Amino acid sequence: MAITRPVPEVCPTGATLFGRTEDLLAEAKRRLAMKPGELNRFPRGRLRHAQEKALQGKPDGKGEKHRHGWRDEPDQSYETPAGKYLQHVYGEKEYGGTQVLKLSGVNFQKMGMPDLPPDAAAAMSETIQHTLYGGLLMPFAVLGAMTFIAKRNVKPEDDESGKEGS
Amino acid sequence: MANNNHAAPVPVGGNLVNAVTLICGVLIAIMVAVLLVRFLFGLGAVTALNDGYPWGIWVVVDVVIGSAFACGGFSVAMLVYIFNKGEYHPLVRPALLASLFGYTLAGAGVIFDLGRWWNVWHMFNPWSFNPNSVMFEVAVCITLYIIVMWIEFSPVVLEQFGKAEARRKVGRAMFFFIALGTVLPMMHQSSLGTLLVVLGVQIHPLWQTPIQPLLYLLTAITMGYAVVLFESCLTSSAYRRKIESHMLTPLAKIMLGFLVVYLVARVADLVVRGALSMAFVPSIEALMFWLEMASFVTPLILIGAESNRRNPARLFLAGVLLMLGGALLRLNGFLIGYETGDGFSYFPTLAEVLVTAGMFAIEVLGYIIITRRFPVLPRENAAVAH
Repeated sequence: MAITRPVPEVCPTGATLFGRTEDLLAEAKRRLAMKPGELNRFPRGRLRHAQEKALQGKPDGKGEKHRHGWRDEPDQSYETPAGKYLQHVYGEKEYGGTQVLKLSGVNFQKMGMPDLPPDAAAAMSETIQHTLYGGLLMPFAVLGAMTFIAKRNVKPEDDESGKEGS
Repeated sequence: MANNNHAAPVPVGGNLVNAVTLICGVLIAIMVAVLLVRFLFGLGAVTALNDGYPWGIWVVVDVVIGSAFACGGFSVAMLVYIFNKGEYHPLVRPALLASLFGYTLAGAGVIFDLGRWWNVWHMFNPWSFNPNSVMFEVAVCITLYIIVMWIEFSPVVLEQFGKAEARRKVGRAMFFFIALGTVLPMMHQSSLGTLLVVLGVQIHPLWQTPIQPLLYLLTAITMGYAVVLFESCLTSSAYRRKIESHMLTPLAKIMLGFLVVYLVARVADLVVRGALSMAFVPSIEALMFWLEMASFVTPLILIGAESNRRNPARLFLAGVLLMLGGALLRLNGFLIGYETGDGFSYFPTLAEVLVTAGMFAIEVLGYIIITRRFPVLPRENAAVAH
């Protein structure tokens, strides 16, 4: 198959988005649903939360003079053909979900991302710890049993020096 | 106790200055010099540690492997007092002594490795407790166990200084400390394995398994008996005493029992997880895996037969191999099979190796001084009568 477009050496503008995880995930899902090559609108920079969009351009209660920040943020979205992505949002389920989400046209391991299970390693170790030590029940039960056995087997004068046989 | 006609422990006596103690002294002096630099100028001044490898040999060898080597006291105490095998009683004190040193030094070794060691007391501050943390559990258990072991060993000191009354009082509560002294090592030796579970995919599949705590516990017990074989043979040869084969031969059989359980668990786990194929990929990890497995399997061939278990040379070699196997399991998991990503590598500096050598020198020197001056080893003429 011929390469239809040159492979970019740097990230195109708007490749990295930031914002709330829920918004990023929604945007990722929206892109995966697009037909590759079809013209679509893409946001750039910070993803706006739904509530912000509703308040966009509205007075902030401090008067026109003091307006600043996201209310005045210009809409930087642009129109471009949708990319061809693997149907997978990296970071949605990996290690129980991560704060950074990625989309890719090639296998994520080729991008240097580790192949992670859906459960975090720390969740596994926590399960082990809680199973063995939950409420310290098991340690105390074992200690109780050991104390009972040791009490029977250890005689107080048992290893007193100079006393052989009794 | 089933069997009380053992020879009472007495000090070995003799000169404390000889080639071995002098070498130990020199190694300890070098260690002190390196540690002085470390505490004045920080970890970076003497170690090869970096952001990818925050744990080097001071943690893996001095603490993780060192404390596993120090499981002799726990393994023998469990045999004598829990399984009521009184015939092994003369092994308790020398094993406990070695463990005492191993653990106390492991506890001290952690301090060397802590970047901000002056904050270590936070660990014992109830307002900072994090009961979900594996590291917290290890730290608290090891600290408690060191205290418990000194109490278990206190009769030896009290006997030597003729404090019969205090000796009697400690003796009455001893059963509780012995019980505690079997539970605590079970807890933290297994948790040292759980530490690897936390590291997730950074650990090579050959060593990353949820049954790691079980494997670490089984090998710690096996290594405990192996250390007793090693230490008993070495002591007999160094002090020109009769080898305690009447105890070591059956002890070796118990050790092999634990070893077989371990090997079954280890191989079954690799097969179930489908990780065994990784052992056939040409890599440093695979090579180390086979070295580790060979160290565990060879003792079965060496002393598998009852007649071979009467041979002190074979017992000694089997003991050394099992100590090596257990050490490799830990070294492989924590360092060789540990990969934090591109751009990070770790190989210990000479200074790090010298500190580790100094730590083991303290153990050897302490063992020599205490067995020569305190009642630890059974009286020799009576031992010959067996």
